[in-house]
Amino acid sequence: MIQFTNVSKRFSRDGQSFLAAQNINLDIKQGEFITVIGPSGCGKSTVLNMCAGLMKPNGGEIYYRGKQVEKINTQVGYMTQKDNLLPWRTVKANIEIGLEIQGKGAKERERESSKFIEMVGLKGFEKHYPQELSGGMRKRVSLAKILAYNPETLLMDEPFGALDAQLRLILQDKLLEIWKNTKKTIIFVTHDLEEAITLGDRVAVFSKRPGTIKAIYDVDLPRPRDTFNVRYTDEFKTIQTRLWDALKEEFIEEGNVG
Amino acid sequence: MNVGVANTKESSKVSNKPIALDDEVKISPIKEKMKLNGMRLALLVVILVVWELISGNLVDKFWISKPSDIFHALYTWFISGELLFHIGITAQEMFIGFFIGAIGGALLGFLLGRWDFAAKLLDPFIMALYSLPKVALAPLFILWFGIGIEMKIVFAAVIVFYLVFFNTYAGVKNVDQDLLDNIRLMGASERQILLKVTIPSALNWVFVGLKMSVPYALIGAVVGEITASNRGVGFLISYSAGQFDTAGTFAAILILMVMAVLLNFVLGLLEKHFLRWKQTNSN
Repeated sequence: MIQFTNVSKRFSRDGQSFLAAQNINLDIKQGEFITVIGPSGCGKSTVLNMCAGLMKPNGGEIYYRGKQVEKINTQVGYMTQKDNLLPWRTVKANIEIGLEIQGKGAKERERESSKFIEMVGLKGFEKHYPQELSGGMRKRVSLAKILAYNPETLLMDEPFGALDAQLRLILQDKLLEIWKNTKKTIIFVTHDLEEAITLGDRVAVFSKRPGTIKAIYDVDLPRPRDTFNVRYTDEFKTIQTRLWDALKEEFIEEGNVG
Repeated sequence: MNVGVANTKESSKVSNKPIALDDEVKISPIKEKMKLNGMRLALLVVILVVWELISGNLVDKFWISKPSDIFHALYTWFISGELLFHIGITAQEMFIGFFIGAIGGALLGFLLGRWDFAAKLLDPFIMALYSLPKVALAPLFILWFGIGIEMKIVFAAVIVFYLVFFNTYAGVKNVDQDLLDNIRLMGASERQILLKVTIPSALNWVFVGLKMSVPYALIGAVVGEITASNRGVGFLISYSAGQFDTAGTFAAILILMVMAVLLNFVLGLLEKHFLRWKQTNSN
């Protein structure tokens, strides 16, 4: 459903240009949950930006449902690292904004928003403003916001990075449940290997800059997966070892070698 | 088991203490504030008494008048109805000027904020006019509008216009690009983007401009009145001074001061009400 063919992206900063992403080839099937992992600054977010149509690749093409992505891709819901909440709107009004844009009535908005507020554990905070919340809570609001308006595909850029470990497990579990029920396609960027394995059908491993996909691993753990316990199974550990072997080279700085 | 129970008991005892402490902490700022206000009042009384005593004894009354004379002047104006009349005139000039200037500034700021070419084209002209000290325009306005209330309204409006214009322009220009991208991805139309992101985001800046410009509207009205007029608080000041009536001059200045203080107070309340979302988590 989403195809990256030889996609490259070049940035220039202070007169110097550098490649952020190079020759990315990736084919994502409809309904697939793919996780993307790699060292920071390797161009993972750039890939999501290009998929959302916020950036144009300098080389190669991206196709979404067979159509080249050239402008903003409204089929995708994008949860960036920044929470992007509207500061003058309350938690509830922020979560309802996507539904407002779709022209949904007040009753339906109310129903949807309260469902997702409950899901992310922010009951009682509906009338608060983003400024009054902690970073982790804002993250949860933006998760509820993107889920509430129900886009076909979800692009998620380290959505659970700022959360504590327990809450992260709970929300991973909820996300898998939603994914199972809605059959959404999800591209999920993370720097946490365990998270990548727990959630994904496949894990794409990025090399360090200029980022390119080094390898793609199938995660054939049975579903539904128990986000709390799956990491203690032998199969999980086998995959983890294999992936870590591929990943660790990318974390070694040139200066550290020899 | 026993240990566990003992522990919970102890911890509940311990947790009682901070609550009691909290209450004390909460009460003391109020006490502190009352003490401070009491001292301020005492200071004011001391100043007034010293003023009253030295006037006519150490310093000639002609220069500094004396509090009792000033209150007498105020009282006379109040009884004759002049006080409210002049305050009404000044307030009228200020508010009408403020609204005209604010609406004009907000509209043009918004227009140029959205229309890059026009903004670039007009930039040097707007800056040139902005650099001009506005007081220099007063004689021209007298020529055009006479010395009546219209001239003060226009004068106040011009000053307010620039402050609101620049803030609105900056507000429209500084809408967070990420917020715009985010709502675009949700499939928002240009109109929805304008209504749900651009305008609310710019409004924050417009509020700042409005708040800043209310005192300037008062300045505009009063400067206009001092330049040429036959009514208003500014007129009271210049007229009393012209009559060598020091008590009257002080009284008129006092009126102006009270007006400005009240204005700022009301603005503070409005800001608290409208910009609640801006307050950070202070509980």
